[in-house]
Amino acid sequence: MAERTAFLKKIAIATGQDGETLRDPADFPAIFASEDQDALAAKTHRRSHEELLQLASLFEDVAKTLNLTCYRAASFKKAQKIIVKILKETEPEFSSEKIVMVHDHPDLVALNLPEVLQKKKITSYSTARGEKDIRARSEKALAGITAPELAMAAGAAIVQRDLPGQPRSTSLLPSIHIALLRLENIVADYDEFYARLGKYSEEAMVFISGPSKTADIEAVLVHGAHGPRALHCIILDEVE
Amino acid sequence: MSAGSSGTFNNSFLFNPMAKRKVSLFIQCLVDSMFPHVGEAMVTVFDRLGIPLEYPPGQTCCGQPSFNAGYQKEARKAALHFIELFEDSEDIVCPSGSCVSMVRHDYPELFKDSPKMQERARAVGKRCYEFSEYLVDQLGVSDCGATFRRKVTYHDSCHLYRNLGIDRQPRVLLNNVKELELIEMKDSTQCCGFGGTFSINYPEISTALVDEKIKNILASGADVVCGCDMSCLMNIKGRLSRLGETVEVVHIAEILAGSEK
Amino acid sequence: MSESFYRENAKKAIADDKLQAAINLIQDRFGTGLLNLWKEKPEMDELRNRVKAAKDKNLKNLDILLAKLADSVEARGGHVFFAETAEEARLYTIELAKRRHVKMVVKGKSMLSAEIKIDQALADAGIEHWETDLGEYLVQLDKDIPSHIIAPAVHMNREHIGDLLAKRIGTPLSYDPPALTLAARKALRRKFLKADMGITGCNIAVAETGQVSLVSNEGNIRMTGTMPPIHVALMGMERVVANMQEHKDMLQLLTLGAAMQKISTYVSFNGGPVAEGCPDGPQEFHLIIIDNGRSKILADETFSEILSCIRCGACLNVCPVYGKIGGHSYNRATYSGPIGAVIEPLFNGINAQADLCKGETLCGACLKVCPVKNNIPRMLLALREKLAYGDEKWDVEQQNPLEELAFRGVGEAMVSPRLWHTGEKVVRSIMKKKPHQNDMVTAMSGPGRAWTDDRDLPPIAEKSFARLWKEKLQNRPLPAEKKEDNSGKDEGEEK
Repeated sequence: MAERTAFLKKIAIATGQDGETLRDPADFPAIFASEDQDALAAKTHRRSHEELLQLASLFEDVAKTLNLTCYRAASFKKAQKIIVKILKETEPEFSSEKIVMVHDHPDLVALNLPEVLQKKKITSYSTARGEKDIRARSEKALAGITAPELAMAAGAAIVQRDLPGQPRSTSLLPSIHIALLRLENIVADYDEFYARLGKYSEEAMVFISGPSKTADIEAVLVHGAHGPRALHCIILDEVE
Repeated sequence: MSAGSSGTFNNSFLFNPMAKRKVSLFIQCLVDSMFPHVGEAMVTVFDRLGIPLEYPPGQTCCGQPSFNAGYQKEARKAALHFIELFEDSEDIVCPSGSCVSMVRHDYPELFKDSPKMQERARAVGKRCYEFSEYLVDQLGVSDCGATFRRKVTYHDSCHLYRNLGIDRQPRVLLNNVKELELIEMKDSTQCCGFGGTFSINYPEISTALVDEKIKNILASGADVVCGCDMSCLMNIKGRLSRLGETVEVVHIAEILAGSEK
Repeated sequence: MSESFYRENAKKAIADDKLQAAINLIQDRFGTGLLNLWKEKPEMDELRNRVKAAKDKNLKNLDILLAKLADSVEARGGHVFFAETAEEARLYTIELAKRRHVKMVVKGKSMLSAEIKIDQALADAGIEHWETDLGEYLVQLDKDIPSHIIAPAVHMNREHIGDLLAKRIGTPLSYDPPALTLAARKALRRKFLKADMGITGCNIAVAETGQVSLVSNEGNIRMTGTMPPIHVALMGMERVVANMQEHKDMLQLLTLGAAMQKISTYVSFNGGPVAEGCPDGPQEFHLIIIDNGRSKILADETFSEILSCIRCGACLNVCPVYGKIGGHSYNRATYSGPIGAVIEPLFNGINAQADLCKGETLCGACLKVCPVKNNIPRMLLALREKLAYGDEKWDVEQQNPLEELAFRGVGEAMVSPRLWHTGEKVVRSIMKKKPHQNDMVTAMSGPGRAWTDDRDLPPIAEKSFARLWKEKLQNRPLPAEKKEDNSGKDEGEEK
């Protein structure tokens, strides 16, 4: 604490104060004041299906430039088929077997993946609380599957929050990442995105906008630097 | 010399009250000593447009070389000399963007500790214009009635382009010169590497930069390179000459004066 | 001595065709690209001004913001340490590492970690440490230093990298960027999974939420902050914003400035040990807030603006001088390019870094491209002024008294037209005696030699403009006053 006080006093003096007493943040709410975002957030909840489809198109257009592969699924069944196809076509990278880590999320439970994948000789593990060896399994995994609850069309970015049953590493350690995104979770731009983040922003979280990439060797773009080498985003528009 | 007699230039200056204002020539020191013909060319252009001229005697240097090298006291003295010389002038017009930038933007900064001097500096700075800017923005001239039967590429000098925002005006003027073909070079706004004392202190870097500029000039296919600042042009000309290249280097005033070669 | 070091390195870089091509590529793509973006989207100006204003406000209230940030992080169970010097930051890190028996550290790309020289401290403590950003990793393997804030290995070509990886980590020889990237992916993955501590920097800290926000495209920074049990984030004290709205604005400028991206691949927010019930993430989180010379800059209104820098590296991508001499020529300092030319002298001594202060043309491209419009040319001029006369506050010795004498002499002439024109005459007669070709002087002596080594010099004209005016121009016959027909045909487009 002594080092904190000395440090802050030095700054206080540098900014023209006498440095005798330190200013208390609680006395200066204006410095932290931000505009009320509730109205903007509410607006994003009132979008028509048509408007949401337009946002999905924008998301897909931007995604193309980021090498993020998009799909549309009109039902859980369709989404499940897309996932199976992706997993069948992807070779494992960190183990000889095909292992899939699945976030604990109702939409992912609804996909009924363990049963379907077992038939294809793909092992799926849930990351739900109480599951064992999540880290060790993730290290070997071919794919991590998540269900982001917010996405920004203008940047083709999804949010992953740090929640029980939804480890960070699911979108990081496996060879590829698959995200199941509900159509209604897409908002337009940075302003709407941050307005909707609201309380999330108090938690650890990450925005993800494509597969891991680098251009550090002669500015040649290469996907799959340290994170997943592919990101598949399935936009779920439940009409059936 | 076909210009000057037709009286049919596509200009509106004749209806512009500004046209009645007298222009005080502010001749950059380099032009004064090394390129006086550029000053003469300006006189020719203004005469043709019927603009009354004066040349306040006692001009030396605006102080920019000292200023850029950090010698602000010396720059301040030069600034004071300039302000006293031009304080009574109506419009001050200079054939160099960087000198105008010095007077307009840097003089007031030099006197930031003296509000009264700063006000005087601002007042002079406001009336100080670069040549092409003055013709186009103040007089409404786009056609000086000149002819120039050459392929010309234009170099955007740094302070002219970035500090004064002048890039359209010289092109408007060049595009209205009869028989002149304007060809844009790659990276026309990239620095030529002059930088005042920089070119003396770091000649190897300066040369590398001017070589880049020359590469782009040659690649453009133009046989003349033109600009609005003799210091950059001297640098380019000096290197072209050393390399034995035949591309000609001229100030825009020389083209606008219609001295057909 | 330092001057020759700068110039010698510059010469080497200029002669290195491959380096020139590599820098050209990123300057064309990112530098020219960003300048065009600012031009094509003038509405971005509002965003830029907003961020600058927020930065300005935050710098003036930095004590409050940092107190709030520290409180927020501590409330979440994170540790905050305030380090006035690089040494304090190093000591804290090393002691923590020793206490926790850390054997291996992975590092996410952080300029500040280089600034405080943490690598040497880790090595001295016998702790293995690995850079994980691909470019930084390659530079580390090559026992070199980065040459660009965003593209650390821009000076290395694929042949060099292929040989390096084959030699140092035993990968099959290849010059194919994807194959080389894959080799590094494999090698570094093992380290991420084994490391006991991750050290990252901090791009933007949010005071209100107590989060450190980091951007990356490779995912190495997420790995560094997620896999090891301890996460140490190094933060320059000026990196803080008040709230998420300011974060939103600054993030956009950062990713646009760095690589013309709307958003980087990953933007992570962390501010404490992993939350209850979450299966992965660090057990311990330490935020080290570092001054290391910044409060001195903050206290000087001439230079405090430089603390608004968001470290995007855009100024390197437009600087003609950087484009020629590359990052290593800046006396092998941590920060190169225009931003380095201002902060390195302020951090490490203006005399010692005099070449960085003086080695620019003042073309102003950095000011045009800077997302927060930092006036770097203005600050370079202020640094030069200190070198010109000496300066007590910054402990600057006058660099060259003879030079001052010369400028004083010229200064006298500038206010005395007679003296000025006498000088002109003297120079004219000197130049006349020098060798000529095509009406140009080809070889000067004295300071002029630096010019004529590579360029010819136009002579001083026989008659100056001042003399021509006096002798003929002021009495020239004016063209006869023309009576224009104002009936309308001459009305120009400007009307």
